[in-house]
Amino acid sequence: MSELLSSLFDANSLDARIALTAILASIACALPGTLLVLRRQSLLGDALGHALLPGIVLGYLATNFLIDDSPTGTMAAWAPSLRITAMLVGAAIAGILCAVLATIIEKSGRVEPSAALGVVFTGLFAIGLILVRRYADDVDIDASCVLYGHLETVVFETWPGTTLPMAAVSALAAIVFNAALLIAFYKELKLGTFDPEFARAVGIPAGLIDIGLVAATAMTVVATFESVGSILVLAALVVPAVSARLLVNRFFSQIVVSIVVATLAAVGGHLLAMAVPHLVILSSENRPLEVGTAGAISLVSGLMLVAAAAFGPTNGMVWKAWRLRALRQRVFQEDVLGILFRLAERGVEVDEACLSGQVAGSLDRSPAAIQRCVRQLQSSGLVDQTNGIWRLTAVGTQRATEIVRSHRLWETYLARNLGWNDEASHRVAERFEHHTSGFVRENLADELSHPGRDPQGHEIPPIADAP
Amino acid sequence: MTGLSWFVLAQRTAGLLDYSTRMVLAGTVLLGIAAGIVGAFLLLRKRSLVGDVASHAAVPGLAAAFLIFEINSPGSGRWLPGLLIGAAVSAALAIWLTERVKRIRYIKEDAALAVVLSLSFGLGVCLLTIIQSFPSGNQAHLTDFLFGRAAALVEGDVLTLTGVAAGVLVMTLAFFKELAVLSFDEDFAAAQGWPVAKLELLLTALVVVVTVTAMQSVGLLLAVALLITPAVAARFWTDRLPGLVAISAGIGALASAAGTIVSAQIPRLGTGALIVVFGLIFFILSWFFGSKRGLVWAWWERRRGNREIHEADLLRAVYELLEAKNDVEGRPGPERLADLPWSRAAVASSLTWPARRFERILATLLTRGWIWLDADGHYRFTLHGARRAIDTVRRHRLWELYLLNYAALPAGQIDRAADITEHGLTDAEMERLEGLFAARGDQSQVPASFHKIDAREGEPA
Repeated sequence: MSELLSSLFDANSLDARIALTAILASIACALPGTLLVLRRQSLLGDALGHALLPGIVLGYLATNFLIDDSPTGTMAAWAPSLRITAMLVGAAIAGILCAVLATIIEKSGRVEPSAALGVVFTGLFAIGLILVRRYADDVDIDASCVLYGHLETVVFETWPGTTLPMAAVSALAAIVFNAALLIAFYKELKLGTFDPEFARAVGIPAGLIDIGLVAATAMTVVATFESVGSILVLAALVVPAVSARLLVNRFFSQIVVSIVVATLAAVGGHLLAMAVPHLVILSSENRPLEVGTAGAISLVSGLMLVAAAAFGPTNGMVWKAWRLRALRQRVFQEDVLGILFRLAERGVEVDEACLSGQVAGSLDRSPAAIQRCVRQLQSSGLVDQTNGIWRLTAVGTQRATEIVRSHRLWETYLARNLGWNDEASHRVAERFEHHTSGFVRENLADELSHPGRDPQGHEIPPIADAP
Repeated sequence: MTGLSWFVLAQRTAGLLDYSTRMVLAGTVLLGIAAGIVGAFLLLRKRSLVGDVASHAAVPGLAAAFLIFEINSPGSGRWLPGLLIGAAVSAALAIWLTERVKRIRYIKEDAALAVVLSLSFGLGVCLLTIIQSFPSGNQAHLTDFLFGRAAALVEGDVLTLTGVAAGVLVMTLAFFKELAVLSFDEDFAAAQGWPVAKLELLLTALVVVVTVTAMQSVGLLLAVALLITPAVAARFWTDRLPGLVAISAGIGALASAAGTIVSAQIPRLGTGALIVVFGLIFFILSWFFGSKRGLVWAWWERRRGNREIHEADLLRAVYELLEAKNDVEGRPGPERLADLPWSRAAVASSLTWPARRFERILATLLTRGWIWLDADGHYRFTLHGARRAIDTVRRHRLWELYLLNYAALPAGQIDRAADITEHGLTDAEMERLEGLFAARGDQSQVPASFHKIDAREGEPA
């Protein structure tokens, strides 16, 4: 592992270059991605990932057709940058075309938006595939390379005179471009995203912002598709943004967090792709198992999304499950305390047999569960066992009194004030008793002018130090 | 293409009767039908992109199935039924997962679809790169399933596809009523006590089956197009569900047939992509020429409506001009009105129209035989045209009266408001207005009514 890490931090190593390219590409995507997710336009990312294909290919073919890039050609030095420019322009046009056509179809045919988008992007993608297939021999675009990207080979094409990969340079350009747009139109974007009505009212041109976002996303996709592939670019666009949404609430923090998630996913993905061949060797052939970096990055970002969903500060599912479990446990313990109190009222001595018989039966739980619960109550000092008989301690009696008092007060209230029958009021009181604070309980007692007995004639136990 | 090569093309197309092309054609057409049917229901459920998730998410299942078989016994990975099952399982899982993710707070539906789609495809790409490092991986041609390779369809595959298409047809026919209600009013279906969840499951299962079987012909990445495009295209032809399903199936079949036939003629054109492009072409044709909502018809209707409005406006302008100039006392009958000459210049100056429109509408009225040019170079109404003019003015003034008296519009806006709305009045509404003002005895400025105008009277023979 340390070997892996050292090669990652050696600036001249191939791995460092791959990692750098991956990080820059992921960050470039995370910026427009955050806006797409917040504006509920994530599917536009999906559509663009497909629809840009013909634009990219046509841009590429146009430069091939127009420029003689053989080493002796006059334009040889300029060919790479011209080619990238042409692809960017082609993709931006295809992207805007896709969005505009989908909107026109949606409006003129009253077609559902996602279906309109689906028609356009699948059609454009098919046209792109045909172009790729048709000219695959003439140009070095490979369909699968376009689809899943090829970081490992992309980094060999470097900026003249340096070891900096071209793909990293174009991703960096996309970051600068996106960041500049974001800073310049920060207020407009924020307002337009969270309160489109208000934004329109104060004269922010919503349509222009929509088109601008589409164009920026399209350019970003082109600048990065060589690294991450035209479909995985969707993961790079939305997954960090959705993770950020689960972790923080404010617009600015979401941008920052999605950049952090994107960076971590890129590094983690590359480490995974580097580590797997070392870890898994196919026994039969003695060949290392290889995983593409682009795919691995999306996997790691997926894991980070799962982690965000599980451990997010306010809505993390793990915390939720934890809180739910704690609540269940408290209710169970309070139910057992209540039963012990009632049995003590009737003078029943609670031995082990009674625990697993009467107590378990009336709570509809297994004897083992009752045993566990009683041990917990014992360790918190609420019950105690002497000579095989379980009794409430002083603290336990105090707590149980509160619960039974709440229960019987609620029963009295429901029967007296709402005219409910015994069975119904018991069922509801059984739930309310766990959620009634001391203040509510004594207010209820005041309201009922401190009744001595509940409708079934049981005593409503007074609290020792009641106010 | 020269005439000769067209001839050769036609000959080769006729040569479809050769066995393997026929098989491929049968397979893709059957799939087109099945996808068209399922897509129509998906469209109405507003869940078109479920197919997108299913098709991308089938990739990891396909690759995983290959890996499992390959690890168990090398060389057995490309066992088709196994691959199909793997793809179907992961597609179904992804759809289920989308539904779960949607329910997480802060994750909206679009984000849920995008996340599940991209991550499962990412997993698939990982597995595919792993497969490439297997000895048999390079020969596995799993990418054929991504882009489709219809040319490789053989008789057994066609039998499978026939089974799938028949199954989809039977299921949709058997549950047509249920699926229809589910598509239009899920809450009503639930309130009726129908098993909405089970019907939803049926629809999802149909989507998965179609997607997975599509992977051989059009390929997984384009399977979604077969589910969406024919259905959206059909939407431009009909508003009724049975029609929608039938037309959608028909367009699916046509696009598949066209794509298959053309790709058989021209080298290096993927069948799958071509089928989708033909689907797009059929969609564009429907979008423009569809009998419901088609752009051309909508434009035509609007144009015709505008022309009728302009005709009425011209008739009224002439009437009002004659009224002012000739002191037409009270209410002129059509005979009196047809007697009066008028000049085009005077009418043109009272209407602020572009010259071209004025000329066009004037010419229309001439050919309709509502006006004519006398020997002195004056225009006059024909008897029929005079009746039209009186009727038009009558409409306008009755409506103005109504707006003035009942709609409490300020007097300055009445004329404009009447201009805009009077053309939409039906005859029945006119009669009610007449009754209203006849009772009030207040229509001094309104030309007298007469029997209904027969549309053909006065038209040139």
